[in-house]
Amino acid sequence: MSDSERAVGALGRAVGLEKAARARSGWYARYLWIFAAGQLVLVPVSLLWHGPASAVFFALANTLLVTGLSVYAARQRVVRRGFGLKHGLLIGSWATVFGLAVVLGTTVFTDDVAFAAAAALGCALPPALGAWSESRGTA
Amino acid sequence: MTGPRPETGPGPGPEEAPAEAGARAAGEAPAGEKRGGHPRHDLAPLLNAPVRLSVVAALVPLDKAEFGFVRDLVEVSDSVLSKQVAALEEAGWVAVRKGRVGRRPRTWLSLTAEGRAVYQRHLAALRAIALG
Repeated sequence: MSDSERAVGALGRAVGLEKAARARSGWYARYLWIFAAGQLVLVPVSLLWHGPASAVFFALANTLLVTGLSVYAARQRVVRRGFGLKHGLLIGSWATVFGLAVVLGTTVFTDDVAFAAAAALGCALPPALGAWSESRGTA
Repeated sequence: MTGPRPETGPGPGPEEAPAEAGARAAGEAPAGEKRGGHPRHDLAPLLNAPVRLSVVAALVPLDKAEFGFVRDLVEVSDSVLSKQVAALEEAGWVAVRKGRVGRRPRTWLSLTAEGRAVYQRHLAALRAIALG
């Protein structure tokens, strides 16, 4: 076997391994899709449903979502490169939009269904974009 | 797809002692061999072993991976991976960190900046050789 053929073989193996590692590290996309879906429920609940029952439901649902996702993340065997920065940026973006939605939804747009729907989509957007970008990196 | 394979190039095999491999790790030419313009001089001898190259390649797109994840991906036994990781760790290309998730002990592997740079140089040299 010539040096050139050996080099091609080694290159093929290395590229194949890199692809396989990416393909098996796609858990963060699932994490973000679930987080985005949770926003579509939790944000309207927090803006439109008032009273003690709403508070209890919001607290339970939010605790379930955050705990479930945290346990899911902690059990993973692999962390993709740049995860910390990406996660920080995504959660920071989500927190900014969520904070803005709560402030505006309780002061300017009180009980406004259209605003609550837009706010839910706005809060779901950062994790959904992150999930889409992660899915592309896995392919 | 990525199981242990026979040696595919010059340089130390998986059975080579880590100390010997470490001395040749940085891609220095053996005594008596002149370095020239041929791309093979840019190859890192330590990465000529298929398993070691596979381990490094598996870690390239990742911040860190559990020992078992790399073992399953590269399709080698615990002992083979352990030996190869020790050689890569001695060369300063792979970092090994032990931790726990709940009660379960976990060993995390990650590529160092130097390991990443050496791998990129090695791949560039392989591409140059492949192109003739």
